[in-house]
Amino acid sequence: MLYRRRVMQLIVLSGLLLASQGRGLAQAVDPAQTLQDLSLEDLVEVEVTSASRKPERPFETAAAVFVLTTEDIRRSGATNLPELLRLVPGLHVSRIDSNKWSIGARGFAGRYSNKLLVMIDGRSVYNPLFSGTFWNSVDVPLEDIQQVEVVRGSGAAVWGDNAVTGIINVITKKAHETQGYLAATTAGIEDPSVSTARVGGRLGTRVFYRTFLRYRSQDESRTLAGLPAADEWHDFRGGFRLDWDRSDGTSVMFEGNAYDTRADERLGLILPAPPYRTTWRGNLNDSGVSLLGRLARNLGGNSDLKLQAYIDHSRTEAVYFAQDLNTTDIDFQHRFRSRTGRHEFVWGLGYRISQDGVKNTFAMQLVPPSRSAQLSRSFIQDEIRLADSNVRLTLGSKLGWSTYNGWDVQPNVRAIWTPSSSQAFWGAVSRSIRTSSRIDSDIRWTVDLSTTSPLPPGSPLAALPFEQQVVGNPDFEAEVQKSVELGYRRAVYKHFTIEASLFYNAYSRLQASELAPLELRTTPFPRLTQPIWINNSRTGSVAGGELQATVHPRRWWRLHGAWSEARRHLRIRHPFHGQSIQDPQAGDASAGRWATVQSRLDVGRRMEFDTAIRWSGGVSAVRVASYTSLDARFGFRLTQGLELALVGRDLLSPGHAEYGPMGFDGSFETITVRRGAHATLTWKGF
Amino acid sequence: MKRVAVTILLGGLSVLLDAQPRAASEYELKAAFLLNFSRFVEWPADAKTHESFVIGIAGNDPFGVWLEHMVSKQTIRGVKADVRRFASPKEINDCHVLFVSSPDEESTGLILDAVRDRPVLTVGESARFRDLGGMITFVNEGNRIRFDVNSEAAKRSGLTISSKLLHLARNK
Repeated sequence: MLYRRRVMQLIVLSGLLLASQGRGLAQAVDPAQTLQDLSLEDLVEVEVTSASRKPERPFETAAAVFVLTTEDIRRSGATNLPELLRLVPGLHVSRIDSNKWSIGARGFAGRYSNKLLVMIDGRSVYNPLFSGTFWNSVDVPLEDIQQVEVVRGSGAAVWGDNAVTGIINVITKKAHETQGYLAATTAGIEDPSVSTARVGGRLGTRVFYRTFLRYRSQDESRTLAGLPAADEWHDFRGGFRLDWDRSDGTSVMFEGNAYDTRADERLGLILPAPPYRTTWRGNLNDSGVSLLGRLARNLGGNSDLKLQAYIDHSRTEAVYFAQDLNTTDIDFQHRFRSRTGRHEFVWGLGYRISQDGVKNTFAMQLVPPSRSAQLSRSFIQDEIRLADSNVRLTLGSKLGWSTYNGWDVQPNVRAIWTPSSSQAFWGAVSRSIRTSSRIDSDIRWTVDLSTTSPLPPGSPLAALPFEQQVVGNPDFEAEVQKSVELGYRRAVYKHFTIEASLFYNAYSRLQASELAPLELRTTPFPRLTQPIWINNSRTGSVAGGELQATVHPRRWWRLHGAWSEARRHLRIRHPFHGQSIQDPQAGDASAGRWATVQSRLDVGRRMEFDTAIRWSGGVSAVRVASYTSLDARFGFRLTQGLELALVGRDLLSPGHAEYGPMGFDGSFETITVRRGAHATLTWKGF
Repeated sequence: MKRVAVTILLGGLSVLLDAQPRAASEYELKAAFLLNFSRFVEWPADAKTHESFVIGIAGNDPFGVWLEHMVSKQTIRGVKADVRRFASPKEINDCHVLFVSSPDEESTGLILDAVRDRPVLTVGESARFRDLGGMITFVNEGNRIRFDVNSEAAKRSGLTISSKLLHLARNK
């Protein structure tokens, strides 16, 4: 525990250590000198103990991790991030309509999957206002993605906020790796048209950049009844990334993105005058700009620092609501190893401020209309390699403060035992929270307004219009998850690996709603209002697991299968004001079980044939039956640098539904996900 | 301000860890291997002998400080060594050793094509590097770094790999 104490000292006394800076800089340790004098015979015996510049190998991580590699992404046949994520074990992905997706893990999913943290190069794209991710506004070009790391479960202390049931971490390629030109175009039937252009170059010996432009358009789909669903989607975006890796171990990265996306929708709109309700077809315009800078410094073989800051502005506009959101986030991380190499510490500090301003309308309001929310976080983690054993123990905790929820501690303990290089057992216990969103706290949303009064006819107020309004709760508390996880990985033989994970998550203070006493309101016009209060009264547990296997029967053939299961046992406890109006099981649109099987076949040197079968159980909350679908991709390498892919999607049936209206969110209808196909031509050149 | 913060941390670290690390990081070790390989390979006599021995890095440079650090203190085959970075295959010019770090098969193929049949020792680390025609492939085996040698590919390019290196290779 000596090192732990020293770390604490370091944090507290770092200011006083200024005096020793001369010593710190002068003492250029040179371990390389000794290493390079070793003979080749000796080198093969040296142990690698630091992978600090590289993420851990998934095999040796004490968490349920899955990584989609560049090759997985290229061969997925997906045209955007949500469709790509269908291949990740444990993530339940449903297409809501042409421009909306529901993605969740471990039992919770929905248009607003508020327990899943989504990050792109360290920038959180979790919208703090709606607490969820708008997938149409994070349409990263798949060609630029290095890898997608998905952690199911609460992850370690080093991850950001609201990483409760999972983390999706998208890492784009460094600018060195996207040099030259890329042009890709996709055209399809039922599938989108996408055009991407990318240029990469260098500005100096060690300074590289890339810049891209991308346009996507997706036709409207059809509802179950066969009518146009009014959900067209047009998206235009561009961005750049600049990397400067200095020879002294410092690297600097800048990244910027701008987008303008127009997603059509049709919804029931509430008006403050008769006939009170109308159907509106219009669009949700979303635009944004973000700029991120990161400085990483390798301080030698066993320590590194990272300082990152970003600003993000987004604007959402619809006829019923408009929002401007400005986010500034600063994050610092320091990782180092103890002298013996037995401890690896990571600690960090972070701060985020989100300021919003909304345009309220009668039907949808946030009170107050402008608010700034702050979030401060700190974490410390020690990974200990227990002496003379293959056990690594990770102790860590986050300590955070937020405007909505005050202080919170999120500790976790993880252990992994690797009895041999082909086998690993791991387990974890953690507590994590989902912080309140602006909606939980401040919303006033009229979900219905009509002339049908619940009062008996003849009573004096029965003639008044009747309003049902969802009312936010300023005292809404953070949702809490306590989780126990177990996992096993085994390379049965060189070309056959299996992996299993089990989880039991206990929840308290989950969001629910209840009916409050009726109110008589007079402005802007007299009406009887039934407030629907948002509260923390849902509780219970979700248990389940994931099982996956990868087989390489031949060098040119790879098979991967995954089975996921999540059983919810949720209930409502003591509503304060009246009756609960929510079916406790119905709050989330994740299936209870789902599975995928993928095959990847190399046909000669120039052709690839890849297929994926997906099965999802039914979801009663959104009235969707189980379905099976088959996707296939033919890839041809036409010449060096030119590739053609022909993709067929949902080939088994003419159409199926994956999602439907849930709760009060009626901004879409259940659509038929129809069989589709597209062709993508990609050219890379120098 | 940033500078002050970094300095404070550096100072703090030096107090905390005032000793040489005893463990090697992955790329520190790989850099040492890279320099060592040159002792066991014969380049054809007509291969351009520069004033320096050139180690090229194609694509991303994972070595950080290590390679340059080691190179600055050593001569290889009697001349000083030099590290060059190539961002794209067309930039690749004369070098003796080429390290290819790209994980993506297509780029790896393009890079290997650029030096095919030239006396360049290609070293990589991706799973299919050998299949694509690479000569030496690093393999992580548990906590150790091993390597596979494709002597056929080397021979085609006019390089002779000594039996000692072949003996130490995993696929001997």
